[in-house]
Amino acid sequence: MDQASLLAQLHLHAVLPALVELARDDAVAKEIATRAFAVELHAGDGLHNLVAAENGLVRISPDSVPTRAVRLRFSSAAALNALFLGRAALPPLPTRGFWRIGALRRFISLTNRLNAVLQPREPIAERALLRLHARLSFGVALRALPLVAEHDVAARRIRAATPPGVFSLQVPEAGFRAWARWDGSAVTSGFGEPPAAVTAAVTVHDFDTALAMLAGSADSQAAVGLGRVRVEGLLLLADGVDALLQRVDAYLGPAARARS
Amino acid sequence: MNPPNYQKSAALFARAVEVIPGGIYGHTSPALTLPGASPYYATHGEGCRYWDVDGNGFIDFLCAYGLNLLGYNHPEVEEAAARQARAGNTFNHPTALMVELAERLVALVDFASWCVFGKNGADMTTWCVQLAREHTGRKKILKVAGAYHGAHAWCAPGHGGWIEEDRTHVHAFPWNDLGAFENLLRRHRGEIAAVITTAFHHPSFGDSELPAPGFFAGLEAACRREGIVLILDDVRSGFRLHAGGSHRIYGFTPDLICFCKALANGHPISAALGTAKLKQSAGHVFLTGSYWNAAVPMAAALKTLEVIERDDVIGRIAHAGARFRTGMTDLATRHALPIRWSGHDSMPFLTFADERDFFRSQHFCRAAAQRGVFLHPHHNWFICAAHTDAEIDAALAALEPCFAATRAAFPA
Repeated sequence: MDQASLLAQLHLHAVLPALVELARDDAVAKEIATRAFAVELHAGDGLHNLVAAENGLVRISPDSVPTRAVRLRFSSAAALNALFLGRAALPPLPTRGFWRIGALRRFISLTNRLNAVLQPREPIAERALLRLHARLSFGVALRALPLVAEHDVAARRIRAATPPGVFSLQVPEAGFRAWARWDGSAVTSGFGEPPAAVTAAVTVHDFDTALAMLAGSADSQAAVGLGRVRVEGLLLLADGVDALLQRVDAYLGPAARARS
Repeated sequence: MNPPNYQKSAALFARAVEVIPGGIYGHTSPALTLPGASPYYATHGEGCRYWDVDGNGFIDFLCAYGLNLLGYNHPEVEEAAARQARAGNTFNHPTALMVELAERLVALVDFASWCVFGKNGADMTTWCVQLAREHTGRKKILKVAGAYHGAHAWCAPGHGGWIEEDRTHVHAFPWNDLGAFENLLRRHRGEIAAVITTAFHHPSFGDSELPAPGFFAGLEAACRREGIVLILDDVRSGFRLHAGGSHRIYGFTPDLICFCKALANGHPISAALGTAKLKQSAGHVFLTGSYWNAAVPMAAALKTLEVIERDDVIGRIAHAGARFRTGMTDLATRHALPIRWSGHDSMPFLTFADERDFFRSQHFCRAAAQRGVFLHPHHNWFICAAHTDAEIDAALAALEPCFAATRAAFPA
């Protein structure tokens, strides 16, 4: 898979699903999702996903497309990526339901709100919104992990050198708990309680450190030494997942967005 | 005794992170040991004990990751070093000590006819790899998977700072797996410059493994047959298993051997020794470093070697290690904690049976630090000549409640 296609997969299957939690926990997003809409994004080669909203709830479901859905066909993975990165590109062609302008407007408002929370232009002052920013950002990273571990060349090298096990990540102040499992053939991830006994556990006790991790400015070894992050269990697994998350950052992090 | 507090360590570390990446980097990083539950900064040592900046004292079973063989602050070694320091350490030229130390080491190592010096183990392992390539005109290096040979790009652990091309010609096979080794030989016949191995397998984050019968004989026979240079990385185990190189106790003969850690009881020096047939090629591989001719570590090394032989240090640490092993296994049995005790008696390691994730090891080692015994949860331990029976017994007495606490924290 080329880099543009992988990035498009990440946008469709790691970033876009953050809309579900955004609509649940953010009043602005919830309001936008009150009125129903459904938008299907297509960029060829199996690159597609669907965002549907109704009664303040959002669902992401590539396999269940309502007949009322607007279908946006992008000319390429790069064109789809440009939309997510806010870059100029050939606009998508509405190949179905193009007269549902209102649905498109609501979809764009919702994704703009997601951008504002995930990638704020100004520092977020409100603590609750900052917690949501952290929760959504860590969520995107954990969803992206299996895709990057499977398709990124450097990540595959890291994966091969990482012992198998179940990794747990907690950020108590953000109310975030997720896990990743590496079974020797594939990486999977999920949220909440891990599916099996944890092999390596990372707890980010200090919220500023959590934010620095997301901004790509954290010194993880220093944070552990300072007691701001606690790592227990199989350190090699935690180290491997950390390195994989850095590969995720290479696609979705601030530096990657700046150069895209 | 009062449990240790680490306020001064923490304060120093907080200053450090402002000016040093990671605060403390590399193998001594708190992230790799027991963050918040063991010292970050030391002040002084004596015998098998050391003290930290908060004044906490520890019976030490890490021995500065193996550097401390005779005991911290060994009077004779420090006197020899101080005497040379008064005369001078570094000059435009080496001192006569370089010749004397090379002669001494060549006399100790049965297969060696020459010797060179560096500062760190990786200086020597990397140079030996270069030498093997120079001598054979071949590219490929075979190593044991998970073995540590230093922090250079061809062999460093971790995921950062190296590229695929650094390791294109480095291939790994599992320890004790002659079949996998033979497969690599077949696949790369005529391309292999060197096989590099430790005397026994002592990976971090894993049990140590001794060589299976026939393993080294198999490696050696294949290397002789194929014209491959056999390198013994004796950086960690050198002068703990045998004064003349660890190959002596496992009955094989390498072409090159690398020493460091215990060679000068903590003073910075490493050495590589080789066979006569490699001497000319050795002269072709440029070797130097700013401090590599420093005289003080050479004086310390000469005295250390003298003490090792005079005081039967190898026998003493084997005795102390056996006493520690017996005591620890007895304690584990008494507290119904199944353990795996691995490695050589002078470089043992403990993990808890049926556990691969080190939660119990970390708990146990944290408890040990609380009671004044320093044990690493992820890296093999070291015995030194200052671990007298009384010190071993004191450590065992302090560790008994740690077994109890671990048993309580992790009920079956």
